[in-house]
Amino acid sequence: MEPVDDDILRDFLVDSHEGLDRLDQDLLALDRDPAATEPVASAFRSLHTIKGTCSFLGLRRLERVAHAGESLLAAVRAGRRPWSREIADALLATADTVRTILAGIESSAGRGPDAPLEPEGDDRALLDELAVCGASVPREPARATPATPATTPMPPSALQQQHVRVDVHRLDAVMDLVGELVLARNHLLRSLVRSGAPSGAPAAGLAEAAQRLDHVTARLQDEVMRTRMQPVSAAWARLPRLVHDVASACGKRVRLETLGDRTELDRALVEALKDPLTHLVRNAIDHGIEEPSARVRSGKPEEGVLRLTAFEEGGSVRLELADDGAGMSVERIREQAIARGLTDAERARRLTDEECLALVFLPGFSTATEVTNISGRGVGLDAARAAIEAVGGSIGARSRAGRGTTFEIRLPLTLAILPALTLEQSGETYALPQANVLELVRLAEDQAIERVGGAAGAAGSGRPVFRLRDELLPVVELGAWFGAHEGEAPAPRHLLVLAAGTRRYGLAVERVCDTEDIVVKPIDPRLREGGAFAGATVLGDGRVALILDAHALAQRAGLTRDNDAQRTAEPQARRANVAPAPRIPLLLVRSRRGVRAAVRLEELDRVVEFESAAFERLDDHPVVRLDGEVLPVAAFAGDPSLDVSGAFSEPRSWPVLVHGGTPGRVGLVVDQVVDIVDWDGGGARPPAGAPHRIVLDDHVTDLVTLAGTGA
Amino acid sequence: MNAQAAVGTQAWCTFRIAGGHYGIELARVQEVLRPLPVTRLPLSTPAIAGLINLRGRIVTVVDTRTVLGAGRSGSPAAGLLVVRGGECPVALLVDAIGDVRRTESVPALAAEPAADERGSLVARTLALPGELLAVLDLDRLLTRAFAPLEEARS
Repeated sequence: MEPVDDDILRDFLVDSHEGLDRLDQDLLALDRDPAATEPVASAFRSLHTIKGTCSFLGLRRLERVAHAGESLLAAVRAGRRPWSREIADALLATADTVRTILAGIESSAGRGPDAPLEPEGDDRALLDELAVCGASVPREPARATPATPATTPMPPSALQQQHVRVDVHRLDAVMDLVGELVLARNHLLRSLVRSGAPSGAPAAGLAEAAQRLDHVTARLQDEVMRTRMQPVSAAWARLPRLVHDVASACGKRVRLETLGDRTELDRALVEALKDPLTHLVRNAIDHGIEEPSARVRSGKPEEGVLRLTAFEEGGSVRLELADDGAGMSVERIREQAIARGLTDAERARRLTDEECLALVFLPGFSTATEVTNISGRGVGLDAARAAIEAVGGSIGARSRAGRGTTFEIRLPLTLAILPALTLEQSGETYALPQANVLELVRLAEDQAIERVGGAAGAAGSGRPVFRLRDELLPVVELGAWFGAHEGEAPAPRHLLVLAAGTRRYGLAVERVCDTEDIVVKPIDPRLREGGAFAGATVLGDGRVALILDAHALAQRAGLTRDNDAQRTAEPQARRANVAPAPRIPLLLVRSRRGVRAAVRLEELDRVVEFESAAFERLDDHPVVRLDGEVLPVAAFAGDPSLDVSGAFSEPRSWPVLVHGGTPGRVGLVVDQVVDIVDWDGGGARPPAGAPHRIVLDDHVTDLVTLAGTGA
Repeated sequence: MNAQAAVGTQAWCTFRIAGGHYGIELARVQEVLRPLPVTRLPLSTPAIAGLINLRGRIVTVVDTRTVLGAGRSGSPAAGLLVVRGGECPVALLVDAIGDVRRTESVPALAAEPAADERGSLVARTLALPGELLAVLDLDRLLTRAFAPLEEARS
């Protein structure tokens, strides 16, 4: 036999796998509606194509199996055999055998021209079964509709002729080049801006050309990104079969409904979605959907429904897998989490229902009372979560007792270019994907990162933490981790609240610079081990910036999985220590002299920023225009360092607190808004109108009451 | 791979580190670069100087001085030697880049005994007119550079 060209073989494998997926779907469609004719024809075509290529490639074993399956389908198509359970099972078994042989061929490829391509194997049992199903004495056709004539033409689909098969690596190379082009454009635009206002005709022409280049580059980037997109249905092509198999094994009846198959995702993400979806579907059938008898007792139809929906939502893709089963019992989850030592009874009691549901994503968690061979071994959900988070996505669950459970997956549209924050630490610039960032807090000088725990008496030991509202966040100090170039790392000015799994933590950094779209570039795989980076990118000025990996950072900092439950429970523990006083949200502001003052958030309509130039004078009173209305302004709490009447000469913007009192609204100018904090009320209510000293986060703060201070 | 005797013409790319004269096979050298801004790679071994942007490709920079045990350089490095090292190219940071030297049947001196850090990475020493050229075993050099922190220290 002639050695087979590798390319031809690869195409054959890809085509055949697609054909088999289609075959599965057709067979299951027939199972629902045995009278349908189109699925028979389509299934026949799939096997026929595989068989034809096999004989061309000299794959005799595969050819025999495909041929036997095709003969049976031909009998069905001709109406000689009525569709039956046995035929369906025999044909599904055929698809499985073909897959096994294909896998063997795939692994033997490149083993040398003399090695046989096909794996050894005995298919006699299958061939016999197919023959028995197909050749038994023809009975009266059970079909009501006339069978499709055997001469049905099989024209190649018109769609196929408009498509070109492109090697993925070539697409990746094009994407890389577009990334380069984006960076070159950034460089050009920056240089143009820096060279000053262009004057004269040639310079004007250059600016125009640059603008056009900018426009075309953006469009090209978009188009190339789209060429890498695949419909999300590629990730769930195997699910109908999986649902069928798992449901049969569990003795349940389950129907899979899909919606939004055409939603598109980067092909790498489609790939990454396959395993987690398999886990979730197995899980939903095994644990979610009840036995048919139990369903009937609770007034539901015998057949359970698994609904898979995909849609685009604000630059990301959302997938929902909903079952109409028994739902997850929050009580059971609590008990299990305690039984498995993931949390203790006291903490578990304090968890909200939502927090309880998040526990199912912890490693080692399972509520299944018996371990089946399908699921319940305590692996699966945490693996699914890890796989989804590895590509920058997130997963959550919501559940209603008796009504079912819905798993929600969010994924970015693409991996190649992603929005990121750039930040500076110890003289280097880093990028952090925005998907990980929940919140950005500016650290004022008096909002220190505290340390808790550690050996008694050992100064400077203990874990760094930050009080964010009523939560104690573990903090990773980037400066301490990444070491200053020389000497001490400068004090962090920003704290990023990051999500890594079910855990939240703070990342203290020297400075957050900007947001920009970055092109992710791989780094040497030898560096990845034990690192904290997801890759690197090239900045507008050509320098390399590392991309921080929120998970790896958390892991390196010792916020490991073992501590997960404890960490989830930590904020609750803190909450419990605080007397259940009413929490009053306060807006914390700072005057130019560094005096902290607070005002009850409920007293404010809103906070608006105004440029210095926006302040005008009307009847000798400073005013600004807001919503077509003239708003009188004054310095907040009579701050003497803010000379509102003298107008603001320095060009900057001023936060104005809008207070809707009587006789009308008034704007109060402050130098800086610091934060929003919760205050426990501190006992008695302060007298109105007068500044009142309270202690907030161990700092004396003036609490200003606005009621009655109208203009 | 450097075990073969020095028979026939061979070409070496030479460079200087801490006063020493070194060479690697020219065939393994992809290109020679002027110094570029190097982005530091925190949490890595001291032998990894950082990353550079080589026409859009991210290339790891190895601090050759550190790997050879010659200590950190006081002055900024003068040259980068991009070599083919495994699946990704790697840039070697060197004090100065020298000429390409061709040798024809130059008798190789015996490989230096692996007495120190440097010695164990020298495949052999060539006696060129007027100087000795220590030919480095590139693969061993890179393995050493990428070794995890503990190993590098031991």
